[in-house]
Amino acid sequence: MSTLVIPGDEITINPDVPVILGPGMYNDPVTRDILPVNAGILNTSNSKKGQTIYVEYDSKRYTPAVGDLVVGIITGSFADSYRVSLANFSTPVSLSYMAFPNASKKNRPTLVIGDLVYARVCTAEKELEAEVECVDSTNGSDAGFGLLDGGMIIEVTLGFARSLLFNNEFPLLRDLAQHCKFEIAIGVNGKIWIKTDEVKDTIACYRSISDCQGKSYDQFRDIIKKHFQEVTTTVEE
Amino acid sequence: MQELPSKAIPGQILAPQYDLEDSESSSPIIISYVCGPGTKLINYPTGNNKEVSVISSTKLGNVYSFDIDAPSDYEKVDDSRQIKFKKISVGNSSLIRETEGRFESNNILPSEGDVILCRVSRISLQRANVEILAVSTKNIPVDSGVGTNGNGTVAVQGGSGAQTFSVSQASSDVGETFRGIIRSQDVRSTDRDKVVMIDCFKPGDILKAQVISLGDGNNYYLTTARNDLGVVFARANNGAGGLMYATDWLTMTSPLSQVTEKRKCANPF
Repeated sequence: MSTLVIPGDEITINPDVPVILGPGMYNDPVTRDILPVNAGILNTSNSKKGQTIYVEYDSKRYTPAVGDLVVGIITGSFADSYRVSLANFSTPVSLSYMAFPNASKKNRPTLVIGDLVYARVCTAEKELEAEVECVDSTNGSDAGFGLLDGGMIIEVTLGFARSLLFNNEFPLLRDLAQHCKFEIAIGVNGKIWIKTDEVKDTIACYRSISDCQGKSYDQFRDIIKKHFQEVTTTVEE
Repeated sequence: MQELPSKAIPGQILAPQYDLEDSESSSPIIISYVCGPGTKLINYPTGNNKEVSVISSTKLGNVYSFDIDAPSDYEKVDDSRQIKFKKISVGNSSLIRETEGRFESNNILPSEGDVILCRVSRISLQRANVEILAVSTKNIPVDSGVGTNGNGTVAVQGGSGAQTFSVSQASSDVGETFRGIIRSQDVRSTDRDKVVMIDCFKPGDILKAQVISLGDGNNYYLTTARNDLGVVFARANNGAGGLMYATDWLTMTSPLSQVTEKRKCANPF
């Protein structure tokens, strides 16, 4: 069930069932009211554990949350950790040297300032600096984490990045694959890393993905075709 | 016996360290002067390469003298001598008269070993930054001056066993207070390397801590590694909720909202 809410709206909840609050919901510590604090679509669903309530809203400023997969850039290196920026003008996060596969006190990771990394947010307390890791500490896997070599970064809104990553019905990547071969890493902090064999393909992908934001699904194919044609004709001239 | 001057300027000699009191009995009464705030004991050179210990003033102000008990490091040599102890203080505030020469102003500089009250301004993974609000004015033994003699509790110093604190006049709103750091290894005495700072302190908490070092020019270094040190007051939800009370040394709970939060709490008794 989904309805449009704005911050402060009253919502109906079942008082007998435990409530699990997701993004965009706030539990007032004094009055114990449950309120939405972001404007968007309210989603409620029932599961074994109780009722889950969250607000699906789009925004551009990323706030770290535990479990998110993000693309970050290394901006500094210290005695025992890297400083990683997940968004311009946001507080940087820290990536410990020990948060890599096969890490030990003796061997340090080889990343330098300016490198792009794909990482997972492991702690995100309000009062402390957030931490990311390049190995999943919950199940020990390191698939996909680490250095992203070459390629280019596209900055998109957070809702668009979430659709790209989690929505299997989202046609953008399928349509893009008709035109070129590419490698992609999607960060929920609104940064998408893309790498192709040729520069013109990278430029076409960049423009396509940027332009598809806010458009409906059936327009994607035409937008992509237009950009790929543009780069091909420009090169041939 | 010499009369003390009523007012003093810096450097003025007030009294010799020992003096004799006029008395009609055959055994003279010795007066031993002790330095209070605003004074200093110096070796004053007299002629012939000799020196005499005198109390001299370090400030411009009124001179006060109070009778005090024998200091703790005094050993009685023999009973034939009668010794009186007087504390000389120089200063301007009425606090000198009220505290009988012990304290001159409400701004007491923390020194090593003092127990202080502070407010956490920021935490990080390795340390907590605090602002010092008040300095304890009595040296109280580790059990907070509460002796156990089998039946209930008796204050060692007679009267209230509670510590009295001298509250700093410096305003923390404009950042005038002294700052301190509690490193993560100084938070508790057991398992010192595995301290998770977010489970010990949060910004806004009021802590009782002890000064371990005067530190560098920017920060005192403090410790809470004792049962009676740690969080004294805290509000739930970083200040949005109600006041919380300690249930044990690791947990605080708010009776209004029934939330439980982790803190390193001070034992209130």
